Amino acid sequence: MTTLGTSMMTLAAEPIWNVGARMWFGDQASTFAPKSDSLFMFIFWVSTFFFLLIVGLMTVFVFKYRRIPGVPQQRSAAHNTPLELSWTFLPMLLLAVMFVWGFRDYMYMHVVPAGAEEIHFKARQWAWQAIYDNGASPTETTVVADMDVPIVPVPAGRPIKVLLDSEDVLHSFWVPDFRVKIDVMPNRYTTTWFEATSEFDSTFMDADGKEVPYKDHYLFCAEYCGDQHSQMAAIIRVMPAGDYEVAKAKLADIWNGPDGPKPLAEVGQILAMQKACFSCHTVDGSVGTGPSWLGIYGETERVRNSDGSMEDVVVDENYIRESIYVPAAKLVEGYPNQMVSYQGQINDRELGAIIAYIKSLNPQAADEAADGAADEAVQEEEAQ
Amino acid sequence: MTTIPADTAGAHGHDDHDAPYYASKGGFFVNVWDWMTTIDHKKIGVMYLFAVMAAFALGGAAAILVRLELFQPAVTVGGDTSGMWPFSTNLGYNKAFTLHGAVMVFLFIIPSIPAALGNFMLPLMLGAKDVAFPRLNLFSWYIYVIGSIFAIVSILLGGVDTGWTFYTPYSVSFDQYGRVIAMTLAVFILGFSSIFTGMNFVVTVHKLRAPGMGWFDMPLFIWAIYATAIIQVLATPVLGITVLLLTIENVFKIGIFNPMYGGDPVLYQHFFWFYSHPAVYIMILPGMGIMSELIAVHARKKIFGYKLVAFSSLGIAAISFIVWGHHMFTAQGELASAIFSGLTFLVAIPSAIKVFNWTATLYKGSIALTTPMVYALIFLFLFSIGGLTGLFLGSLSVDMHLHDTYFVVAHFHYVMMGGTVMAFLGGIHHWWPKMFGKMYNERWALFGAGLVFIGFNMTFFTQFFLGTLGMPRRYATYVDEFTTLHQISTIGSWILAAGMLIHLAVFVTSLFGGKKAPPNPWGGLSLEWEAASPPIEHNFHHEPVVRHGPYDFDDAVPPHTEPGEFPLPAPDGKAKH
Repeated sequence: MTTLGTSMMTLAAEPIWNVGARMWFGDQASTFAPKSDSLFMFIFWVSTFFFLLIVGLMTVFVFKYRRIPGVPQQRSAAHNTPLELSWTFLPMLLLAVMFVWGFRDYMYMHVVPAGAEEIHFKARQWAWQAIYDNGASPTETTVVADMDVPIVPVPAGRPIKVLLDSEDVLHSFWVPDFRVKIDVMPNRYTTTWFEATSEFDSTFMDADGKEVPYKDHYLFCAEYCGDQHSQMAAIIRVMPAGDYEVAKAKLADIWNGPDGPKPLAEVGQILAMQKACFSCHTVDGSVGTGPSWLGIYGETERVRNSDGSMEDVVVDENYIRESIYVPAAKLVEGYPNQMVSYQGQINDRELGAIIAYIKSLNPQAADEAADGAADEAVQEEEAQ
Repeated sequence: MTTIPADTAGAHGHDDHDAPYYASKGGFFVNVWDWMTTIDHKKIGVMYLFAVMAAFALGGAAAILVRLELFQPAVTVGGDTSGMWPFSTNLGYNKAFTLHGAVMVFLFIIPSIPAALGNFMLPLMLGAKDVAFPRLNLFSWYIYVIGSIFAIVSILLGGVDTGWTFYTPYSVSFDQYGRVIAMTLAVFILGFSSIFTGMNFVVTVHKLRAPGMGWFDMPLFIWAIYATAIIQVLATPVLGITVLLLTIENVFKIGIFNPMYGGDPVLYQHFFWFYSHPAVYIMILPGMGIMSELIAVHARKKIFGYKLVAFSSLGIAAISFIVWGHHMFTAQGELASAIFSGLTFLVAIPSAIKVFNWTATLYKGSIALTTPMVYALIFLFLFSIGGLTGLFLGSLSVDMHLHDTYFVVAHFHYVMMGGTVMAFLGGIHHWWPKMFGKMYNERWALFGAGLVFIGFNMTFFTQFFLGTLGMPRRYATYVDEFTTLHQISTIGSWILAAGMLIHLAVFVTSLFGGKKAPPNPWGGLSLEWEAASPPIEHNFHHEPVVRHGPYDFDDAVPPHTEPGEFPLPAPDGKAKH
């Protein structure tokens, strides 16, 4: 009885034209999704009607009035003003309905509700970095389209304002299950918002041993942004608001673990993921858009200076620092001038951690170079 | 039909009044020089036809490679890092789809119908000897060739991976070694070719109509070409300005579109679509014009509501200038989006009118299922889907989801390929006997059309689902969920290609062994059917006089007339056999 009552209520709440929506769409995981889909399905059925009308009439006419040798052709009127006026103006009414309906829901999606929590998404070639209001960024990753992408926890049932900007070229923020899309620009902030629905299909165990329900949704880049455009993804992980708060708080301090400060190299690895270093630099020796970091520290590389001359340099702390802040100054031979400067994006403390991480990828050279670097540091101090 | 006596073949064409326009003028080099310096609109039209066909083959080959790469979710073959081959790297794929888009848009579809069929047919249908400015016509062909050379140079330098839209800042911020400049320069030069052709046609329609031919006695193909020409003349300069600014920014590092120098990337999008949206109608309007010819002649019926169809062409041309912002619903402000969404719905009306009128024309017709007619029916089927799916994209809230997805890819392929290319194929079959004086094999052509129809729908209908389910455009790799739909689409592309190859074979066999074509194989009433097949160099022996409208089948044709035995009111009063 209850089931029947519920399903009847669902039927009553669901407009008739929504029939068939499952054929077209994946999850409706935001409050906006049913609105967008409802108009889609309305237009779908209107279109289906007109398509069947035209193709149906066409088929009937082609069959009925096919040319048969010896059968004289019939005469017919060459125009009919009332008929032509009606198929000019009646569709206009339908189109007006679609326009107003689409505009209304578009405004719903563009006006951020007051008090919405803000999550800043930074787009770079080719990764997303979410920054929460406590300054934290996701540290966990998973594999989408052969690429390690961040898992971004978001709360269910609470409006989230999405603030977006780009470090380099145009990108576009799209979560298909939310039906939300907005372009991301290098010279201005854009905003949108969403409220995820409380639908979960999996659970994970958090640090305190509590089972947390969640559901994952893809975040794709929808505006072409170059080489690895199709791998610029992230996972939006919707979980109950309380668990989200716990997860967010845990991300706040990447420098310290439960047992005190983390090793610098470990922090560097997290930072390298957050800053999208891995979209170009592999750590397994395979060739990417930039040189692989595996064993690069302490090696001698042939580089092209910004004036075009060639030179051999040893990859040491100073070379790494320069390559992060002024990437075009000394390009490793054979690699394009593709990287943007991270000046202002990575501070001194973070830089130290990333250098420590790169060093850790060639432990032998790191040990050997330790003395030399110490000497240099002493010399520099003396010079000052 | 007169044939060329062998002994006069070497004489000057002017002396031989019955020789076909392509009659040999002498030895090989004499003929090459003759074609290269010809100001005959028919020869220029044929040269354009071969050029755009070559471009179509190049763009089509790129499309097949793109689809092949998408057969698997990942970039399939590793090892090669040169980026020249679509299967080995993301970069290779990105270059392949850019090549496909740029070649198809700028080298093929914009010049396809107006420059090839339009050049050949427009003066014939008007009853004129040539276009108004024959030398300008030849000039525009050479500009087209020069522009194409720049495009090919850009490809030979390594190709560009910006997409055919060249969106800033991506197209100006990274090392492209001058290839973007070469490609945009190609677009700039090709634009002039388009402008000159448009100017030529506008003047021709105004000044060179046969005596007795009023504006509403013109075939609807002329109306469509006229509306197209107006857009070409008015919109193309903006494209020229845009790519010029892009090049200036690229070379001199002046901030226009690139935020790195203080420019604005959205400004580029406004500039680009201010041309490229009207350009969509440069692409589709001539196809609509061909549709009217095909339906009228092969159903032997006056186009239902001729004036409404003619004015809807002009209506489309006018509204096309004020809807460009619907390409930027996710980039521009709310007010702009609202205005452009409303205007976009407005442009749906004239297109819908045409579809209704073509359908109504079939009523009580005498419908022959020739290849041109079958292509007209395919056009109605596919263009209806293409047009109606535009409504989803014009609705703001729905477009938030569908923007930049495979739904958009499917939509514009249904309009551009399902519309323009199908009309082009129908038009080529329709006028093939007139252009080359040879009939083609109807049965094989129909078989090819069937394959094209099936292959097209398999390739592109699947992409509507890919779009709504969450597949973005221009993706070299994708998540596993989309594999099945992508594979159906790729297999469809092979069937589509097979259909195209059959058409190619049918045309080649027709050229070398086709049956001789009568002057009027379909029983058309517009003036091109009064010329010989193929036409003589000056088109008509005497200036034709219009005695009936182009579609007066009910009044001008006695019942029981078979095509081929149409009474041809020849200008000199003698009926030709």
